[in-house]
This record gives sequence, C-alpha cells and structure tokens, in this order.
Amino acid sequence: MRRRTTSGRRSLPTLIAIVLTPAGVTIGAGLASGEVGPVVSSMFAEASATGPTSHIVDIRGLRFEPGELRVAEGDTVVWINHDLVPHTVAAVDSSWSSGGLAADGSWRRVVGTESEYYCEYHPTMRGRIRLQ
Amino acid sequence: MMLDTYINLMRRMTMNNAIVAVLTTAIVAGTAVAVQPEPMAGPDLNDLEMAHVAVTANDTDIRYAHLALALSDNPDVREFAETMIRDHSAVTRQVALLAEQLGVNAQDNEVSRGLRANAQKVTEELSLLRGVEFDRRYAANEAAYHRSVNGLVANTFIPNIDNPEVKKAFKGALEIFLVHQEHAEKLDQELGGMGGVEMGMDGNMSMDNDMSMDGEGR
Repeated sequence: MRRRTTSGRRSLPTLIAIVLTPAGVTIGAGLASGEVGPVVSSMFAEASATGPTSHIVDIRGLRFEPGELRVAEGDTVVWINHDLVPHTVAAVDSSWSSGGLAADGSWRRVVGTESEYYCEYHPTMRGRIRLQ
Repeated sequence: MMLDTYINLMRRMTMNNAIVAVLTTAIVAGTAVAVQPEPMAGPDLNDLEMAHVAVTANDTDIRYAHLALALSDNPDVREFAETMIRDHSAVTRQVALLAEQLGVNAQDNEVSRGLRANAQKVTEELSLLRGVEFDRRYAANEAAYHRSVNGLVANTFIPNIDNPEVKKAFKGALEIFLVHQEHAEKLDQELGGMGGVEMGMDGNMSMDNDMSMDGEGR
C-alpha cells in the first residue's frame, strides 16, 4: 500500500515557486473546471490551505490505494485514476459522487465526515475514509 | 518493438493443438449459454490470432450488453451492461492503438470464427427471454463467460506471449475482466443464481437442461 501525505504548511518562497511553475497554471485551470490535474492536485491543496493536509488515493488495477485512509476533518483527498477504464468515487450512502472519472483524470473532495465509498461502475471496488 | 522482431516472435510463438482445444472449449463453454462445448481441433495460434480471439471476445460481450440494454428494465443489470460497454470499448481502443504502434493487424482464425458463431446462437436465445428470465440468464452467462475467458487469458494466453507490450496489455485487460467476473457473479447471485457456476463451465450441461426457455433450467 502506498500513501502520500504532505504537510499543509509551506514557506512563502515555496508557495511562490508553486504558483509560478507551469504546474501552478494547470492548477488554476483545474480549479475553474471543478477537477484538477493528477500531478498537481495535492500541491493545490497545500498552497491554498493554512493547515489542512492533502492526501492522494490512487485508482490502479481497479483498486483504491490505499483502501483505507485516515485524515483530519478539513483535509483534502484527491483520487487519481491511473486505469484504462473510467471510474467514479461515490459515497455508499449516495451523499456525494465524483461522476465519471476518465483515464488519467482526478477528482478532489474536502473531507467533513467519515465515508465508505465505492466505484459506481465497478461496485466491488470499495474504499473508506476515517477521521483521525 | 520493430516489426521484423515482432514477425519473428509470431513465427516462434505457436501453441500446440492440445492447448488450443482447451482454449476453444473454455471459450465455447463460457460464451454459450446453451451450447454443449465440443472440444475441437484448432490451429496453432500466433500472437496476432490470440489478439483476434481477445478482440472477438471483447466485442461479443459488448453485443450482449447492448442486448441487455434493449431488453432489461432492471437497474442493476442495465448498470452492469453499461459498464461492459464502457470498459470493453476502452480495451478495444487500446488494442487498436497497440496494433497501430506495432504496425500489425489481428488475424481472424478458427477459434474466433467459432466464438462468433456461438455468440450469434446465444444472442438469438437470449433475445427470446423477457423480464427476470432474461436478467438471470444474462447475469449467469456473464459470470460464466468472464470466468472462462479470464482463465483462458491467465493460463493459456499470457504464459505464451513473449512480447512484453502485448503481454502487458493482456495483463491489464485481465485485471479489468476479473473485476467484471466478480461483479457478474454478485449480480447473478442477487438475481437468485449461483454466480454462473451452473452455466456449462465443466461442459457437462446439455443445451436442453442448460437453456430451457421456460426458465426452469437454472
């Protein structure tokens, strides 16, 4: 299981560097469309937050990795679809859904509550978010 | 990979008739709801012929899914069918892209032709069913079909492919199809079936007792 969790605090020079990079431009475009690019998604969460942390869940081989994630309330989780086929990320209680997530696409959500989620296209794919 | 290297690979990569007979039986058993699988002498298959079998199996499942969308009102069945179309279409596009990159075309063969003939028969039989009878038969067939093809790909195709790009593509497709199998088995069980295990997997079920039109053959 791979887990990538990064601190939400950065120095001012680091933030400037993020904004000025091509990735930073991509971040802005992703924000406007409601989705973010797969590589820079966590950077956006870092750059815009004052305390919360960003986490990445990779969708690979029709699995959520990690399958269970512990986060703090207000943290951002970014799901990245590395598969050939599209997926969704949706709460089991139907309270939220990413909608179709194409290959190489990503979707982010700020966590407010614990969730069990799944892929609506492949219901045997399951994941869980727990609050620390 | 260079084309000449691939051609050499094709020439070296053959399968013996015994393996092909098993392969053919597995496909027929998994694909046909009602057809008694008959071991048949098959030709040796090269990489391009195996790719054609895979594409044919892929297209077959897409056609079954379109039939389900046309005939079923069950939301779970329709969702599954939509996923089959979405995923198998993605795999087909990937195969086409890989073939283009390699500068080759998949080659039709006896196994693919047999698969198409059986698919036609199954489609005709499924098209006579309605309501829950259709849903159950479709789900059971999907479970058995994916289990057969997955076994074929895992145990017969992948071990015989030397080309790393082709092998990687088959492995990736297998990951997808294993989840389809699990999904289909769950769907079949929810509809009252046994996850497709009753559908001719061992070749012991005849057309009559496997696919009675009155729905009592399950």
